[in-house]
Amino acid sequence: MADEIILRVTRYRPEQSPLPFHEDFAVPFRNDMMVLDALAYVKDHMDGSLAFRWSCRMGICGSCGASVEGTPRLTCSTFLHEIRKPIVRVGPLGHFPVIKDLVVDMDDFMRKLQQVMPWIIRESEKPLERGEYSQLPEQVELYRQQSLCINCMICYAGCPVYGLEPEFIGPAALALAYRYNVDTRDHGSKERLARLIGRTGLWECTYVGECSVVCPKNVDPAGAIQRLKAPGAIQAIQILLPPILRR
Amino acid sequence: MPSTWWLRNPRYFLYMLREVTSIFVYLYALAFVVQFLLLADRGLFDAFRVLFTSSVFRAFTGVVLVMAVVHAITWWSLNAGVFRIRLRGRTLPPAALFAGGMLAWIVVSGLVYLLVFRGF
Amino acid sequence: MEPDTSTAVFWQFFALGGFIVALLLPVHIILFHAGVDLGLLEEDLSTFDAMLAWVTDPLVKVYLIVLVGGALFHGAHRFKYVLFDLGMRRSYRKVGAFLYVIAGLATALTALVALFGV
Repeated sequence: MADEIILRVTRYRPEQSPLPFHEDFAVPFRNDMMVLDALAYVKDHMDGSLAFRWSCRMGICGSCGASVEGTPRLTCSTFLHEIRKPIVRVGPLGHFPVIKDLVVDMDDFMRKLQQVMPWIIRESEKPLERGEYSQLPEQVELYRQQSLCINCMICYAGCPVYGLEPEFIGPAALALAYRYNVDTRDHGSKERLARLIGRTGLWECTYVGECSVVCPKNVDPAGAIQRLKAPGAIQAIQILLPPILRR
Repeated sequence: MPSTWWLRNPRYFLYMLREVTSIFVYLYALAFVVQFLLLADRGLFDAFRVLFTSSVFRAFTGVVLVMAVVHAITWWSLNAGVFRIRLRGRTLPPAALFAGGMLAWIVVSGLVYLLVFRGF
Repeated sequence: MEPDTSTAVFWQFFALGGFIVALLLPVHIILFHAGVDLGLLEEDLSTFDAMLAWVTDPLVKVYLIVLVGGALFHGAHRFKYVLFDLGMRRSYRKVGAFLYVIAGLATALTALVALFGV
């Protein structure tokens, strides 16, 4: 591979130009370089005004998501040499409003996370001196996969339903709702489900499955959402039953 | 988002193909209901038989067959990723559930064949 | 969030119908339409006498209602979301309601004729 690679970055700076535009940067290429390293090179040596988010550089903080060659990915975990193209296109995560360059507005995602009440809800708390709430390994296994979510929003950028209907709660928030609903310490599944069975909740998901493909942590939001649908449907049709039959 | 978003990657395209099977399933079922209701009168049935034996309708049912097979395969593979069935203390892998679905498909197809040709 | 009860009901029909279509429709098409053309069957089951002889069986009547109802409600629901996917965000629910009504009428008619008519 050549010693140089062209990074074609989508720039957006509303104070200068109302429309986004592309800018090419010729970056020295090393085989062990991540897309994030190339962005950092541009910022350090070529254009300090380039805006992008990053923190841990090891795929756990979830801040460096961007669209790389049209696919949402963590830039810190994507090797440049994987892409095998002389020109590599990098843009902001799709479906989110852009604030500047690669920095997107996360407010909508944060609001949706809160909406599903991603915390353990207890009917009653036992006193501290009676110890912790213990679980068997197989009880942990029920939700472990979904608990690995790092809130990177890459699943939202991959989800066409979210692109078409911005009110849709979306993959990560629904996966997190599932994570707490199957937790044996939690008593809030009915309350949580009640927030998911409306017009912009579970039923909007048509199991495209892209969220699970692009997820860097193998959380499988798509599978989790489908598993919520049957209990969600039962809860949603309770209203049709006479009160004595409702649970 | 442009309405051609499903052409962006092969996974989106396969998703759209799998969803579009529903249109063929729906239209075919309506056509079959018409055919069934025409059984009320022999003259009427035979009058419409020209339509149902036409090359256009036969080509349509050929496409419906392909779509039904696409539906069956994708339906079982999707559901294999959803259901969590525990057997002897471990969760069955999706591949086993998919194989179970394929087996059920073959068995039920055999039963329908027997139902039609032998009667029960 | 207000529960979307009607979608929850139709989703259940869709899911159940999905299994019915996956299990029954391929063999159904082969038996009644494509089998002779494909060289798999010799007997043409789509003639008046063949069909009439077949539908008098009570088990076949159950099969018919299950297949038609499953296929129509599965198809209607998914068809509705195809319209959404193609960008009909404002109208897909209305068109979907129309598809459900047709599905309901056709299924009811099939059931009535199968159980009391023929």
